[in-house]
Amino acid sequence: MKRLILLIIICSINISAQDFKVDKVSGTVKMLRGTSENWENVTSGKKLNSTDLIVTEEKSFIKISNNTTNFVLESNSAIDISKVKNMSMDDLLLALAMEDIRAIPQKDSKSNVKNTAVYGENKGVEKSVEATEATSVYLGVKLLNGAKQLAKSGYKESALVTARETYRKHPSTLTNFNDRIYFTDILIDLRLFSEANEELQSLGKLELSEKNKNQLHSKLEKIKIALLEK
Amino acid sequence: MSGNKKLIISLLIMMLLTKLTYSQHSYELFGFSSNQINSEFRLNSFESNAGNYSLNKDWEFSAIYGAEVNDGNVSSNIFLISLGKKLNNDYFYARYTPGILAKFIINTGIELILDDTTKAKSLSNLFEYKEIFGAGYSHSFGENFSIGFSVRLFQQKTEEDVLDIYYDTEETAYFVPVTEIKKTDYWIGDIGATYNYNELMKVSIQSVNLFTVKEADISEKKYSDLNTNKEVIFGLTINPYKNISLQSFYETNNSYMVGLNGGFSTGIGNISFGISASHNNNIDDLISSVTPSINYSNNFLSISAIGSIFMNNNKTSLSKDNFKNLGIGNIINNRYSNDRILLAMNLALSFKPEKKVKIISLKADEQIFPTLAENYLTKPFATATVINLTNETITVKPSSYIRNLNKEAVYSPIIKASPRDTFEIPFYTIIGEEFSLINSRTISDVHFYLTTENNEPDDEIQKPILINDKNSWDGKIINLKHFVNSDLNFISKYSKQILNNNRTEIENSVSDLENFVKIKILFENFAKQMLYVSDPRSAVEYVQFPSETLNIKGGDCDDLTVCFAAMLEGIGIETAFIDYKNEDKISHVSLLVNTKLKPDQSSLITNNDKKIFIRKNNQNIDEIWIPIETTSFVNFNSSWEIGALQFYKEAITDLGLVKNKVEIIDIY
Repeated sequence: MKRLILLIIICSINISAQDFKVDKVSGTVKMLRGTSENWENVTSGKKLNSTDLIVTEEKSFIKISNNTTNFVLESNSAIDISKVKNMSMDDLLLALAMEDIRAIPQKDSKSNVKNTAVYGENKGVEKSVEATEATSVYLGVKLLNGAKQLAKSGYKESALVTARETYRKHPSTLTNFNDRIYFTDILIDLRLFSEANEELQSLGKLELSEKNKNQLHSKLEKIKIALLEK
Repeated sequence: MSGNKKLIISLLIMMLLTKLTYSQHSYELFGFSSNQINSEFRLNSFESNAGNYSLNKDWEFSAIYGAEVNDGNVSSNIFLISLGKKLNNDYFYARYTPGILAKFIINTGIELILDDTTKAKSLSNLFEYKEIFGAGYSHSFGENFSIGFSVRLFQQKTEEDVLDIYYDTEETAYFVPVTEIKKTDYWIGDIGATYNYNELMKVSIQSVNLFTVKEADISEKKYSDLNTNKEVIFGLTINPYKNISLQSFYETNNSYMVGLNGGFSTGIGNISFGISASHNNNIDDLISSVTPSINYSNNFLSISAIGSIFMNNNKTSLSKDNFKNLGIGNIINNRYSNDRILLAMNLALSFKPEKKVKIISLKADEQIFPTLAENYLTKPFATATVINLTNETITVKPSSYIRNLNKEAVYSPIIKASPRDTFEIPFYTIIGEEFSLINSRTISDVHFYLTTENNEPDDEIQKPILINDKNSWDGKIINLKHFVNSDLNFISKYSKQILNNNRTEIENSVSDLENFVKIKILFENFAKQMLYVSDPRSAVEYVQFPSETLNIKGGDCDDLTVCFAAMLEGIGIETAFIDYKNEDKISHVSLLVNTKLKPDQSSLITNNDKKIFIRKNNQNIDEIWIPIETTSFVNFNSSWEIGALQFYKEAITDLGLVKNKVEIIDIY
C-alpha cells in the first residue's frame, strides 16, 4: 500500500508539473529533467516541468511561458523552473528559516561507536576536488545570473531563495561581493532588515577591498537606522 | 452543692448559650476527648457512635478499667475490652463489656417470721441489666462519608421473691417464700452515618433502639423491662480553631449533651482535655451529669482518665413504684447512677506510619513497547498528581514495578514537596535486557509506590498495562531508531563482510568518495535480495529487526529502511529517517545518508544538484546528504533518484521541512 502511495505521488509530480512551454530558443540551451543525470537539448515547443533545470550557454537565450507568465533566460544563466513563480512573503520567510533545520542536532555521548576501517589508500583527491569545484563554480555562477533575472522580472522572493540555495550548494560563489550585495539590496527592498544585516555581517568576514569595505559599512549603517526605526 | 459543681455548671451554661447540645441517651465512655491531634485512636464508643465511625488506621486494642463510688464504698472492675481493625475502607470493631452492668435490689416491704426460727425474712426483688458484648461494622465512601451499624447483646435478669400458698389436708394455709428467676436477652441494633462537611464541621445521625429482638417468651411488656423506645440522635462537631473541638448531640426525646475539648502537642506526645454535660429528659435536673476527661496520646498509645459526676440533686428513691413509673433507659447513665472514674488505654497493635503523600490521580501509558526501552529512561511512562498531606516539606521517593518487565522496583527521581502542595511526579522505568526480547503480547500490571521516610510506601496504586512483543512499534518514526540499534553488532559484521568482498572497488575509488561507494555497494547488495512485503494490518504496527529482514529477505518500507539504516550505521555512516507525514495518517519513511562530501564536491557524484541535500555537521561544516528510497530495488541510482525527487518536491519546493510535513530524524 505504501509503495502504491509512493508511486501515485511520483506520478502526480510528473503529471501536474508541466508548467511551462518553450516559446523560443537561441543558441545552446540544455536541461536536466527531474533528478536525471543526462543533459538534454531544449528546443522550441518543448514542455518543461517544475522539477526541470534549464541552462543557457554563451550567446544563447530561451523564452518560456505559461498561462500567466513569460520569462526570458539570458545567456550564461541557469534556473529551476519551479522558481519562476510569485512567492508570498510568508513562504519566503519559511524558506529562509529552513536554514535552521539543516543542522544536525548535537549528538550525546551515547552515540554509536563508528566503524573506522579504511579500505585502500588516498589517491587523486586534490585533482578531483579542484575539478569538481570548477564545475560547481560554473553552474553556481549561472544559477546566480538566473536569480538576478528572476529579480528583474519581479520574482524577488524566488530570486532570494535561489541565491540562498546556490550559495549553500556551490559555496565557491560566496566570494563574489557584488552578487551578494545585489541580493542583500533585495532583502532591504523587502524590508527584511535583520536578514540583510546578517548577510552583511557574514560578508564582512571576507577579504575585501577598501572600496567594498566602505560600501559594506555604508549599508550596515543604513540597516542599523532602519532596525532602530522598526 | 459544692464549689466545684457550681464551677462546672457555670461552664456548661456558657456552652448551652452557644446553642450546641449533646445527646444524653448515649453516654460516652471515653469522655468526648477526641479531637484532631488524637484522632488516630478510637476515642468514642457505641453509646455515642452507633454508626461505628473511626479514624483508626489498622489494628487497635483498648481496655477500660473502672471504679464506682457508692455511699463512700469504692468498687472496681474491668469495664471494657475491645478490638478494632481497619481494612481499606472497611472498619470492624468488637467489644466485651463486663463493666456495663446495673443491679438494683428493691425491698417489697414484706417480712415473714419463719416458723422454725425467730428470724424475719424480708422479701425483695433484684433487677440486673448488663451488656454482654457489642460489634460494629462501617464503610467509608471516600474520606468524608461513612455509614455503619452496631449490634449489642443485653441481658436482663430479675429475681422476685413471692409467697406461694399451700394447703394441707386440713385446709390449713402455708405461706412459702419462693424466688422467681427470669432472664431475658435483648439484641439491639442501630445504624448511623457521619459526614465531614469540611475541615471545620462534621455532622452525624444515628438511631436508638432501631432493631430490638427479645429472646424470651414474654410477649407482654413488664415494668422492669429495659426501656427500648425508638429515637434518633443528631450530632454536630465543630473545630473552630486548631485542636479545639465543640461537640453536641440532640436526641428526639429532648435530651441533649454538649462538650468542649482542646489539646496541645508536646515533645513526647499530645495532651487533650475535655468536659461534657448532659441533660436527661427522664431526670428533673437541668444538668444530670458532668464528664471531665484528660487524654495523652502518641503514635503508639492513648491513655485517658474520665470522670463521671452525677448531680442527683433530685435523686429518685429506689422503689418499686418508681421503677414502675420511670423505668431504666440506659444501664450506665440513669437516675440511679453513681459517680465513676474510668481509666482507658488504647494501643495501636500494628503501627502504620502516618501517610504523608497521597496519589490524587495517575495517567499512565496503556501499553509498553520493550524495544523502545531507551525511551522510558528519559520519558516518563506515567505521571501522578500527588498531594503533600503534611504541613512540612517532605522528600518523596517514587517507584514503580511492572510485572514481567522489571526485575525489581524502579526508582524515579526524588522530589521535594512543599507543605500541602499538589504536584506532579513522573515515573520512569528500566526494561531489563532479559525482558526486551518478548515474543508475545501479554496483559500485566504496574504498581506505583510513593515512599517518604519509612520503608513502607505511604501510598500505592495499581494499573493494568499491555506489554507488547519486541516487534511492536508505536507508529512514531523517531522510535524506529531503536529497531536500527537492536542488533547493530550482527548487522555491522554483515556489512563489513559485504564491503570486504568488494574491497577492490573501494580501493580504486577516490578517497573522498569512500562513504558514497560503500553506500552504493551495500545498497546494491541489499536491493538484489529484498522483496517488498506489505505489513499485515493489525492493532499495533509491526517492525522487523534488521537481522529478521535479512533473514526473511523482505519487508515493508519501515522494515527495509530500518534494515538499510542499520547496515550503514553499523559501519559508521550517518543516516537519518525522512518522515513524510500524510494527512490520512499513512506516512512514508525513507532514508537520508551522509556521504561526507563537501558541497563543492557534488559533481563527483552527480550533475544534478536536486539529488543532494546540504546539512551542517556538529563542527558547522556543510556536508552532502543523499535521499534514498529503500523500497525500490532496481539499482542504487534508481533508488537515489526516486528518493531525491520526492524529497526535492515535498521537503524543499513545497517547504515541507518548515511546514512540518516532512521531518528529518537523525539516527544515533
